[in-house]
Amino acid sequence: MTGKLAAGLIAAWIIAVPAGAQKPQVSLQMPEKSALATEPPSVRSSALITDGTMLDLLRNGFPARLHYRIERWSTGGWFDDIAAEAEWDVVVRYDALTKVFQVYRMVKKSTVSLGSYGSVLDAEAAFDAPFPAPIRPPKRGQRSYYNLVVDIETLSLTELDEVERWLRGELKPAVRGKKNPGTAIGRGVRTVMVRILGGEKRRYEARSGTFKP
Amino acid sequence: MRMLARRCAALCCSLVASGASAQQADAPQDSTFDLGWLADDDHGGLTITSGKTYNRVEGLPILFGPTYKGRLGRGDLTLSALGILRTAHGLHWDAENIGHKLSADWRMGGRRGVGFGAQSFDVVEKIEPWQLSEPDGALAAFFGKRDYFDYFGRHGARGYLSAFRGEMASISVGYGRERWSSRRARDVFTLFRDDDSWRVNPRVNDGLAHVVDFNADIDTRNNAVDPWAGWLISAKYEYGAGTFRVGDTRIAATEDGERKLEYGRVFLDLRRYNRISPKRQLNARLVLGGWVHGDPLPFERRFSVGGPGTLPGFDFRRVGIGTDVGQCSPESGSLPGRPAECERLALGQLEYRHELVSELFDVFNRNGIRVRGAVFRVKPTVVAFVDAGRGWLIGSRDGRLTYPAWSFPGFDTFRTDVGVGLDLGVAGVYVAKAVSSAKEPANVFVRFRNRF
Repeated sequence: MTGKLAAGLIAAWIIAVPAGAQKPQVSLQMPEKSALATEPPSVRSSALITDGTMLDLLRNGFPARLHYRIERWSTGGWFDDIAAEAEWDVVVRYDALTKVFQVYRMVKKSTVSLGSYGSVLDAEAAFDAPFPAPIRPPKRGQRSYYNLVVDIETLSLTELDEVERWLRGELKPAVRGKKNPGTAIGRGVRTVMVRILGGEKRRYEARSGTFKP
Repeated sequence: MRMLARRCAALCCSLVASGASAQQADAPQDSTFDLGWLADDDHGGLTITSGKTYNRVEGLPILFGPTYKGRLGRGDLTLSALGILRTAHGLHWDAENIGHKLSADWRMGGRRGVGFGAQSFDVVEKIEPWQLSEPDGALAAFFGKRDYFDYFGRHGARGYLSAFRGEMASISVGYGRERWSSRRARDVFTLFRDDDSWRVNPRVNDGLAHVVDFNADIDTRNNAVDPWAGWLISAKYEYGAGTFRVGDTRIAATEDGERKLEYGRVFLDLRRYNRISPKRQLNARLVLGGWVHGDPLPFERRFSVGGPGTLPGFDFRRVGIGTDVGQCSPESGSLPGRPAECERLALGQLEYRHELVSELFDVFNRNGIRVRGAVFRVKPTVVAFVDAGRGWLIGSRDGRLTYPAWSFPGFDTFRTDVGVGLDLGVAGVYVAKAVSSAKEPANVFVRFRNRF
């Protein structure tokens, strides 16, 4: 009985997931085989900042920071080694005055504006397009693979901001008698626990296959 | 990486503050900006933060107060003046629930440099913080009323000099004058088992301590939270001296229950993370620590093994399975709270991790597992591990508990365990079984971070 109930719940949950919803993901696009020793891979992504929570935070003035870290690992010995690595950032910020999303990419000491856009989908598209990773490709004959990690966090969202948002969004109606204060406090506790568990950060990973240029 | 993050924060703060006019969507792409001048814009502000812990002595410590970051001469200056309010005993306004943490730190140099600083503090400190990482300790206390640490009060000041090379290596020397005191377990809320009692927080050796410490740290890991490769080496030598109250512990006392103690102690935490294929890892950890010279170590500086952070096949503070090489309590019995009493410790941990093909889990990952709007994604990894460790006392050879300073216990006297687990990325469920004590039942436990 319990097993059937659990199976039913899982099935209902899977069905309830919107089938058409675009899946947030990052991927590595490898160069042609003949160019593996001369060209780096390109990084592509989709739907990283367009979901409800992230969009809500963006619209409330919290810029989103997407931190990219790519590593090239060499294989062959007992253990794999990091042969090269590179990091860069993309920052997305909503300007409430002009109602546009501004997108910047920061690589080493250079910051480049990718433009300003009226919709979050256009802003997402600006940095989703294939971007050649600023990493040195392997020498010929060096068996390797790439590993990409993208960490997304909302900049400036300190615990003080969290408390302010909570007070503004959930506790204030409770104080005015429009909401159950017990529920509001319970939500606050849950928010803290979610933050302790790292729920305010998102991480996506992609890995290439092992190759030998 | 920290520099890049600071530049990001500076960029955003500057944009928000200045209300810079937005560019239009058809603005020319790839226009490069010089943002060097923005790096100094993050000057700190008012901070309110949890102490990243939850325990039976403090509840949730809340730190609040002003912070400042700026330039002083050729270096970076960081100042903070944080008050501490603890939620134990219903946030009752008393001396046990109030503390402070003031600090000033000056650093000069980029890739390599030097720094110095001073701190004044009235804090509650873990006796063995190396055993278990947070938030695992805090969550066990909050949800299950299981506190895997013991605590003591530190009230005093400390100054230090340091030298660093990037974020990879640092050395420091410090001097502190601190009053150490016993703290009691208080009325602290837990989600479950609220009617049960907390384990007693053991008494320590109260007194005024003068402490000189030398620290060396090397961290070449590619990621601090989920490392795949690199070294983590943390070494510390501490010289301490002071007059301590020893009557409530097992250190031999004079008539007035006090004793002058002057001791030397070392501690080494050595970890190596190895990637053996794109999906497999073999990681190892060695922890060595203990008395090196002088009088016996005060109880604030003792050691123990056993429990989810060290030897999960054995219950935390387990006694009654032969010679107590976990806490080093004599056969006559343990002190209240079963404190760590060992003067030396050796612990080895070996772990094999294998990331599973996650197509099955991708069904669940499609939109993530949502908790209050936060999205968690599952990344299943099978973990197999083996641990071995023990503690011992220093003195004339006495059975399997006490050894002379220059000898090392036989490996057949170590507590050992094996285990397996499934780490889903969000949390891992593990089963561990003691090997050296075959009759011990298997333990099931949950970890929210990697084991080490």
